[in-house]
Amino acid sequence: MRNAFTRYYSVILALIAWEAAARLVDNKVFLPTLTAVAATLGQLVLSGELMTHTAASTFRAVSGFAAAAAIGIPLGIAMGWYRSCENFFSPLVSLSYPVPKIGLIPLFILWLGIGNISKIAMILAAAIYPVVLSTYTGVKGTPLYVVWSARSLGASEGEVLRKIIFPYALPHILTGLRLAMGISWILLFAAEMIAAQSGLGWLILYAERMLDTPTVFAALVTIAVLGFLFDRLILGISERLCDWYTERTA
Amino acid sequence: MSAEPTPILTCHGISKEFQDGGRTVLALHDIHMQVLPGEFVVLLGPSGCGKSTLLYLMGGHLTPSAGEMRMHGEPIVGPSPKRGMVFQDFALFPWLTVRENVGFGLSLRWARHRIESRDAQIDRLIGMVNLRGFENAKPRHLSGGMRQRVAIARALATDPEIVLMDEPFGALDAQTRDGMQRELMRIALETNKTIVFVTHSITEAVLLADRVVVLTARPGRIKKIVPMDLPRLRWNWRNDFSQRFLELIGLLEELLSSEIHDSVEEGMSGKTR
Repeated sequence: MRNAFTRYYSVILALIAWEAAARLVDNKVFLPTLTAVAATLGQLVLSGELMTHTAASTFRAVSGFAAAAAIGIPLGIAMGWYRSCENFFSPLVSLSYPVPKIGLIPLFILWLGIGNISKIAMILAAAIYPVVLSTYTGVKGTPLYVVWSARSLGASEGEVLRKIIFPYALPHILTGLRLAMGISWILLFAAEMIAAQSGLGWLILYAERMLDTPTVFAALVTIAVLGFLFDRLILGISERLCDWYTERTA
Repeated sequence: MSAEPTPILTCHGISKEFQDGGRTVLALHDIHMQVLPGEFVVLLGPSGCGKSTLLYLMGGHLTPSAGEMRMHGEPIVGPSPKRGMVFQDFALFPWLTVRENVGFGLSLRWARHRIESRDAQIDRLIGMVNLRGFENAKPRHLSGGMRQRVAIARALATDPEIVLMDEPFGALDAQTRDGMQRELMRIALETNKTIVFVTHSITEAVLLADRVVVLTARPGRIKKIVPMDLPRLRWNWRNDFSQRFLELIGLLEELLSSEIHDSVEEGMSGKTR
């Protein structure tokens, strides 16, 4: 209990500050109070609206994230392991990384239509970079003698990749996945600007137009909580899998 | 000379060049030597003489620029579980337990069908290197000496014909190093393995070796091959200040000191040039 408090008391302080500031301002459109937002959230939950939007958004964010992981991890391993792949992909990655992905919205609509595919592709396009770069860094950092040890024990090329390179790079890969998860939720909003009918991003846009600031905040809080939960999930997985890496030696 | 045993490993005129930022550096030049079955060969030389490079060539991790490395007459084309490796910084798999590290080689595809009673084999090796009770520990919880024992057991697990050791005790403190040398000698006698061992410590060479191959400063050439004509387990000899033990140390010191001297002069003249 005390542990939970020391862990999250900064959040509680921020919420108290918000409530105090909102009471001082005393303008629901300018800055609604925490209690007002909570009330709106309650209504959205009861009406089932929040569930619909959350489901739609989570599906998009997680699909984009999963695609980024599914393509980014093998690509990062290939780039870190095979010189030819590094030579081929490295300049392409550096060149395309700084391109603002939100600026590609019209192109994604043009190429992939206005359905979920273009939204997921949008998230994928942004979330793949931290996955590729972290995986690549992790593979590059595998000590040569560790690889040689495995080879002199009779490991084939595939076994070296699966049993040595992948586990050695795993802490870096999971860091990349954490960054990608965060980016997926950020990009979700941009993606749902593409002719969406549902989703938390769409809800924000819609409520803004109605000057319904409490609903805007309710949706923002929901995204924050979802992002937090998924981040903690990945963090928990990496602490479990990579105890050899995260735990400091005495 | 008909009783001469056939060598396990032979180096035929081995040379090795490296590319260092556009410059070609000759690390080893025209090495001719052989390793006989059951022998403990120490490669001794000043630092940077290419003795580790020679070991990696024997392991098949590097390929020679000239000459040929052969095992039982067959050219060495890459690493093989017939030649176990032990490195100075242990090179353990940090995400695996002691048991999984030792058993790694046996868990690979080539070994899965060939070797039965893998568990018994791993148990025996863990016992041999005195790590009972630490089977489920991960490397980070072990001391340097214990880590190196895991590495030795791991290298022995695939039952290699020859074990190649690259300054295996170089990262250990003096006391641990002393204990590990004795343990290695015990294991060598117990398993009757052929060992090639790289070091820059003269005492270590005299304590362990049947033959010491003294290399020159870069580029490494064979300066002299010195047989250690003392019986194995030389700790008692050292305690008794055996005349021969001290003579051998003196001989190697002399061979090596001229090399260290030369390499220092070379470095200095290189600077003023």
